[in-house]
Amino acid sequence: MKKRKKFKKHLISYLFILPAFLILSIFVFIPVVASFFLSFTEYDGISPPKVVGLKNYVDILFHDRLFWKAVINTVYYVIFTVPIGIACSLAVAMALYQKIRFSALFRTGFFLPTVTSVAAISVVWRWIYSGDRYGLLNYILTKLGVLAVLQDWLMQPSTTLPAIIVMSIWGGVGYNTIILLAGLQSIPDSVLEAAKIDGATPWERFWYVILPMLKPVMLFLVIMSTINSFQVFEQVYIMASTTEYFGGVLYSALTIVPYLYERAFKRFLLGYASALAYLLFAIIFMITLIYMKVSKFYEQ
Amino acid sequence: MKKLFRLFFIFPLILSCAKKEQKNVLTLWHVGSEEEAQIIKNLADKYFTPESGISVVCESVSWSEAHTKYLTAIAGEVLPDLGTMGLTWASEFGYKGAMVELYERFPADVETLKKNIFKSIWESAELKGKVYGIPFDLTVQLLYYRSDIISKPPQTWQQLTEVLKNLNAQNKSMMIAWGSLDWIGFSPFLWQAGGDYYNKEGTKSIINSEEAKTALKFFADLYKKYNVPRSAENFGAGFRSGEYPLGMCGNWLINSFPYEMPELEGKWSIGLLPKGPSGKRTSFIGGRVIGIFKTSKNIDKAFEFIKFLSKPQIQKEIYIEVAKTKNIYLPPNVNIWKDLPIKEEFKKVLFEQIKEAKGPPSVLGWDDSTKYVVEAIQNVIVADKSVEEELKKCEEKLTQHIIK
Repeated sequence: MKKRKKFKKHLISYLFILPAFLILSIFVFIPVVASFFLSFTEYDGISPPKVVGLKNYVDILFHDRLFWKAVINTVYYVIFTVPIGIACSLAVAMALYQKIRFSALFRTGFFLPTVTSVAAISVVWRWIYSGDRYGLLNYILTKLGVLAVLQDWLMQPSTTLPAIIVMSIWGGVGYNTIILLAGLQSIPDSVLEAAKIDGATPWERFWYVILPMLKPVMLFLVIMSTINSFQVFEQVYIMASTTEYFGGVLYSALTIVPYLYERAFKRFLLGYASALAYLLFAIIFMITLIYMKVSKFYEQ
Repeated sequence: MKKLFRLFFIFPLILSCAKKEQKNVLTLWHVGSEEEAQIIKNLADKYFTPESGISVVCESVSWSEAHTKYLTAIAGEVLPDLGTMGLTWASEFGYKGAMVELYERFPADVETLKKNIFKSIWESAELKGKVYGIPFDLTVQLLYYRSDIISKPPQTWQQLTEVLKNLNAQNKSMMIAWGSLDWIGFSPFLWQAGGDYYNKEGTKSIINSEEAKTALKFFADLYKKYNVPRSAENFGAGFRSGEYPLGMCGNWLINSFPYEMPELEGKWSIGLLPKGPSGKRTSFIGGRVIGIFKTSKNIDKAFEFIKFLSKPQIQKEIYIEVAKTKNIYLPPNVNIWKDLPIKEEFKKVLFEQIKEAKGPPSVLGWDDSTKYVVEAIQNVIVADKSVEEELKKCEEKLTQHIIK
C-alpha cells in the first residue's frame, strides 16, 4: 500500500524520465545486451547468427596478431596522452587562475578545440603533418633549420602514433582546463591565505595545498581521459587510414576501436567485433577499478 | 483536432500505400556524386520513361559509405531494384545470394553486351562464368607528365629510371597518386613484369614468382632510390609547381586539371605506362558495375534499364553531361569511343591503355587478402624487409584465403 502511494507520488517524475529511458533503451541498453549475445556467435548480418561459444574470444586472445598490436598501440597512446594531457591542462589552468589580463580570451582560445569536431580537427592536422614541402610542420621546421630531411609524419611507423598523440593532447587541453579551473575556484581563499601567512612559498602552496585539494577533480579527469583515450577512433580513422589500409603504414597507429570498426563495418564480422567490444569493456572496467582502489588507498 | 489528425496520420498513410502500388518505378542507387545521379535520372526521364512507361528514381551514395550501406541494406532487405557499385562488389554480394545472376537469366542479351565491352574490364566483372554486374564505367591508371619539363614520357622501366635520375638531380621526382604504398599502385608493375596474384584457374597464389620479385624490387626502388614520396595527397599542387612533373594516377584528373590550372594549358599531357621486362604496359583498371538485386519485383524492367544505359548514344550523353561537372565518365562500350568528344591525343592514349589493362583479380577471397599484399609492400618499402621472404609469406596467405 505504502509502495503504491510512493509510486503515485513520483508518477510525474517517472513520466519525465520515460522518454529518455525509452530512447536509451532502444539505442543503448538493448544493443549492449544484444551485442553480448552476438559475441558468442558468428554473424555476418545476412545469414542468422551461428552460436560458436567462446571461439571469438579464443581467436582474439590467442590467434589475432592485430588485436595485440592494437592493444599495445592503445596502451602506448593512453600512457602518453593522459598524464601529459593533464599536466599541460594543469599548467594552463594555473596560469589562467592567476587573474592575468585577457584571461577570458585565453580561456575561449583553449576551449575552442573542444567544441570543434574531432573529425574536422583531424583533417586540418593531417594537412599540418603532410609530407614534402606542402605540410605546415615540415615547412616551419625546415625554415627554423631544425629539420634537415623532410619527414612524412603520417607515413612512417615511428612517427605516426606520436603525431596523433600530440594532436589529441592539444585537442583535450581545453576541456580538462575548464574542469580544473572550476576545481581551483572552489578552493577557499582563506586556506590559501592561511598558508601564505604561515610563510609557504608559491611552490609549496601549489604542492601541499592546491594539489591535494584538487584531488577529486583530478581523479575524475584521469578516469574520464583514460576511458576516452582507450576509445580513440576518429583521429586514427581520418589521419592514418586510406581505403586500402587502415591504422597507418604497417598498422603503426592501429588502436582497438578502429580495429573493431574495421572488423564490424568493413568486413561485417559482427560476432567477432562484439567480442572485441566486450574485451575493450573488460580492460577499461579493470583499469577504472584499479584507479578507484588506488585513490581510496591514498585517502586513508 | 480531427482535421489535424487526418493531416498528420491518415494522409502519410495513404501516400505510403500509394507508393507501394506503383509498379512502374525503378529505384537505382548510384555510387558516386549527386550530379551523376541527377544526370542518369534526367536521361531516364528524357528517353527511357516515355518509351517504356517506367520512371526511374536515382539516389546517390557516396563512395566512402557505399559498401557498408549495401551490406546493411542486404541484411535488412531494404534494397533498391538496381545499384551501381565497385567492380568486385557485385560478385561479392552475388556470392552472398543478394543479386540476380544475369548470364543465367538473360543469356542472349548478356552475350551481346559482352561483345561490345572492353575485355579488360569484363574479366573482372565475371566470376567463374557468373555475371552479377554489367560494367557501367571505367577508371584506368595513366602517366601524367609536364611536357615543358619532360620532353618525352618514359616508354620503358629503363627510361623511367633515367628520367627519375634526371629529375632527382633537379630536386624533383614522380608521384604514385593512385595507390601509393598499396596494391593498386603495385599491380601495374607486377603485371608489366609478367607476374600475377593467382594462377589462371584462381586455385592458388603465384605471387612468389621471379617476376613478382623483380616487380616489387623495382616498385620499392622508386620510393627508396628515386625519392617517390610515400603520401601522394598533394599531386595537384606538385604537378602545378613542377616539383612533381611526372605522376601515375587515374584518368579522373583529365577534365579537372584544365579548370584547376588553366595556366598549364598545352604544357601537360598523358601517356601510356612504361613497358616492363615482359614488354607489356599493363595498367590497373577499375570502375563501376550495375546489377539487379534479387528482392526487386521488376527484374525484367530493371534489366531493360541496364541495356538502356549500355546504349552507345546514352553513354555518349552521359560523357558529355559529366564532363560539364569537370569530371570524366569513360564508357565501357568500345563502339562509342570514336564518337566521344575527348581531345584526340588523349583519346588515343586512353583507348590504348584500357585495352592493355587488368582489373582486380576475380577470385573470391581477394577482398580479404589485399591486406597481406599491402603488408608485404609496406614491409619491403618502409621496414626494409627482404622481398623474397615477404612474397613467400604473402603467397601462403593468399592461397589460404581463397574461398572455394
